[in-house]
Amino acid sequence: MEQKTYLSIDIGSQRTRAWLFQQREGYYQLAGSATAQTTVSAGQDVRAGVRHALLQLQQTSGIQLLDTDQHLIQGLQGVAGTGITVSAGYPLRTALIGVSSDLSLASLRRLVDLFYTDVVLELDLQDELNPTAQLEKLIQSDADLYVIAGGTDGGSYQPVRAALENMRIVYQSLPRVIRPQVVYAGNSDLAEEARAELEAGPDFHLAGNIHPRLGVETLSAAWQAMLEAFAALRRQQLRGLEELEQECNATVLPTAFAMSRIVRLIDRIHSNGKGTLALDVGSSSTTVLAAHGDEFIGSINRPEISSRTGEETCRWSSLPIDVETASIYMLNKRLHPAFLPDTLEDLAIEHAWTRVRLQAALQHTQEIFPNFAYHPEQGLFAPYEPILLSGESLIRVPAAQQSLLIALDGLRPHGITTFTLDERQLMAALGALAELEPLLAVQMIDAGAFVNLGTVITAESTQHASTSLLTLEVDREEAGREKLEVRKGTLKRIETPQDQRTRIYLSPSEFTDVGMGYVGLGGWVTVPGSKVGVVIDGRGRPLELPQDAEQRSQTIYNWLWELGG
Amino acid sequence: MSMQTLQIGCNQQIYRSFTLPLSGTVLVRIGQEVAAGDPIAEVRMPARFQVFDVVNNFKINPRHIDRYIERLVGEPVKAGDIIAQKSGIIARIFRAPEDGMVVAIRDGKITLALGEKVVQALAAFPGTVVEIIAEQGAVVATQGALLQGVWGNGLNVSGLLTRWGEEAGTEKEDGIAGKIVVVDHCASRAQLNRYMAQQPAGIVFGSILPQVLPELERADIPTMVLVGFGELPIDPISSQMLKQMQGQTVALNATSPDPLEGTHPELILPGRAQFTEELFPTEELLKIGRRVRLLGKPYAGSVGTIIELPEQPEMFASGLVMEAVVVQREDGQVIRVPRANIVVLIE
Repeated sequence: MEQKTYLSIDIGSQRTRAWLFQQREGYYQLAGSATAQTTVSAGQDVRAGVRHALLQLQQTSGIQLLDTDQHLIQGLQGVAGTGITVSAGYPLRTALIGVSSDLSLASLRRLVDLFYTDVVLELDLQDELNPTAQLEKLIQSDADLYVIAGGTDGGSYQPVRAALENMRIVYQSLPRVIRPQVVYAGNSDLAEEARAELEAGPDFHLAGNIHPRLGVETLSAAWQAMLEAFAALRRQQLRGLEELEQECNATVLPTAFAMSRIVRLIDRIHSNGKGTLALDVGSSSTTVLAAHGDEFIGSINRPEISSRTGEETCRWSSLPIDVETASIYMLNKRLHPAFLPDTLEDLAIEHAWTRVRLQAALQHTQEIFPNFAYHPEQGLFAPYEPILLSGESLIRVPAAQQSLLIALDGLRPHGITTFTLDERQLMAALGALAELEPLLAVQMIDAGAFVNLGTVITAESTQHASTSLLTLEVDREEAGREKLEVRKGTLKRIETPQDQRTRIYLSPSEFTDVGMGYVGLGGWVTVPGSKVGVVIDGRGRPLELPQDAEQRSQTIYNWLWELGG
Repeated sequence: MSMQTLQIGCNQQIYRSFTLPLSGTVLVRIGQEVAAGDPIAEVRMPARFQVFDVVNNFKINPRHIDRYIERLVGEPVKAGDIIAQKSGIIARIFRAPEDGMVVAIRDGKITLALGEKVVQALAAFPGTVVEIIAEQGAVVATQGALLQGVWGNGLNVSGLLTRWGEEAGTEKEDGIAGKIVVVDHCASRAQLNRYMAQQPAGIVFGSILPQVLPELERADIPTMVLVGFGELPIDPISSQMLKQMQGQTVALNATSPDPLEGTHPELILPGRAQFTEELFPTEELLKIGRRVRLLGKPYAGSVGTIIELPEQPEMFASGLVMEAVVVQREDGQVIRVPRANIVVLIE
């Protein structure tokens, strides 16, 4: 191969994907992508799914990737580098050990959530002083991963030191089939003693102190150690993963972490004073990633199925359904995660459930990151632009308008923002390669890797329903100007040509806030071309849905109709 | 393209591994015949731990702690043995509350591992051990009739299989006690309580409604669902298999479905063992002639045969464009459904 070529592989719970990027005339382009079923169940080797995907990728791209022995061709004649990401596998059973619930344990919750963990124990060393009880709790947790923090550098470390002895007994006494991993992210003064005390060899991962000084939290100081622990556990759990890493000369990353690199990169590229938000809704989990300067928020939420979820799903359905029907759909979907809606009723349930999963994920993010500024009724207050949508549940929809409306109803943003769509699911692929070839991600994003879905302007007013919220004037250049009025409780769409910018003048009433800084303040907004166009959301916050089920579903249906979906 | 599969049929080669969550001792050998419930492997571990703070309880100087501790790390102790003592006018003694071992002495504290608990991996059905998994367990094989379902509550049992209903005369109070009973559908908790009250050994439901699920998750009776959630009929293939098993002793292995482990809950009627060397089923490819169970409405739960695999994706009523499969149902009706919405039945 004359051109530099990079390969990215993502092993998901259902599908294994592979993407090939090739540099042509100095610019990276997507040379092809392929999907195969993931092979992780008993007796299966993840490499079988990867091999299927690579064989398909060879066909679609026309680029030889495997030699006659089905091994990846690397170096000058093959791929220059490979990135591997994994979201398949059980959530990692995780025990958090910290010196207080408000400080170190709260920080640890924020740290581990991005690494596909399920927190099974939180040990507050200030609360639980009895060492016997501590030890029993640690043993009963049956954790795969122990993450320890506590104490600022130079500060007191006695409670953590006492807990380390118990940790050593747990690590050394229980003959686990999967060797547990330990991450130490506490007082640096105790770090080397912790390593020596635990005698865990390569299963001990030393991180920087996530609380180096009082009032300072640096979660990124522990990312590398968390990545090492994640990779060590997944290698033990997923057959063939270690061999795949060796064959590709790569180290596996959590898919969500790889995606977070792209969110942070976009945030650096778009210096508009707002943050960047990404939402990835898949069948088994919803990932929320937000970056704004040095601040980063990352969480993963697994959907629960309960009568409350069933009721909420009915509430958001565009067809009238009952709780039992919604629950049956959700439970059967859990049994058959690959199931796709093939009737209008199933599609209505799927889309309603996606809204509910989004809201649950945002609520979960708010619980662990109190500065996220999401309110379950009022929606997301923090300004983010762009908002990137990804994942099967948001991508696999019959029309782009449906993706936008689902995201809008899930998020209920305020002010003005732009939604983009990761149609080709490139976020994880680019993130996995970002360290190997930073130029690749930058060039792909510049070249429009993500599709512009639409711009949303939320118009809010305390006035009663049906009053005029604002008038707007759309300047379509050659096609002339068009005037429109938006009333409270409605949703309005303005089509914009895909390949040109459109200028819109917003004239809000004295009580309407359109996100220009003050209530009643308007002005010109220039928007890029997009799939859906500009959506003026005058429905208000909170979004009020009729009590009557028939009327409610008709209202949701009408909103979709208004967007042209 | 590989698909979701379920195994249903007679003379199936059934291989299942039974393993411990911790490293332990394997109790069986290759070729050994095991019965349902026999231990395959076990690990013995302390029942509990106790940490005793010598310095604070004895009120002594930590530098002189060695004078007061009578045991070494790793030393076994018997109940009542003195572990540490401080003599004087008011003597203080710490004795082992039960048999165990000293596992740590550090920073003025002694940690004892006390008692013993045994964790075992048990065989869920009778068969022959064909592979040993070092320190974890073994693969047990049998040949017989197999009927896999979609949901189980994680328990298992062996017993006589009977069908609930007037024909079988099992509605009498003593009809299903101690047996594994097959019930077509369960729509309410009241209905479930009626079955449970008669103390069956296990229950196999064709389908259930969601409101029954929380009760089943908590139930201590092994329970499995064959087809899914909703009011779904038991398909003719499964019905036929249940008929063959009726009145015989079967193993109900109601394991929770786990896509990562590739496990399904199942009913096994063991037959004469004839084994091949192949330990795991090869990938089942989607192909014409395969029998499938349909998942989507309005055909959910019914079965048919694949008669065509269109190459081009097709648009369905939902508006989604998906890879399709053409299936002829048992009643002769020919339908097109998404490939993602079928389960291949391996007969």
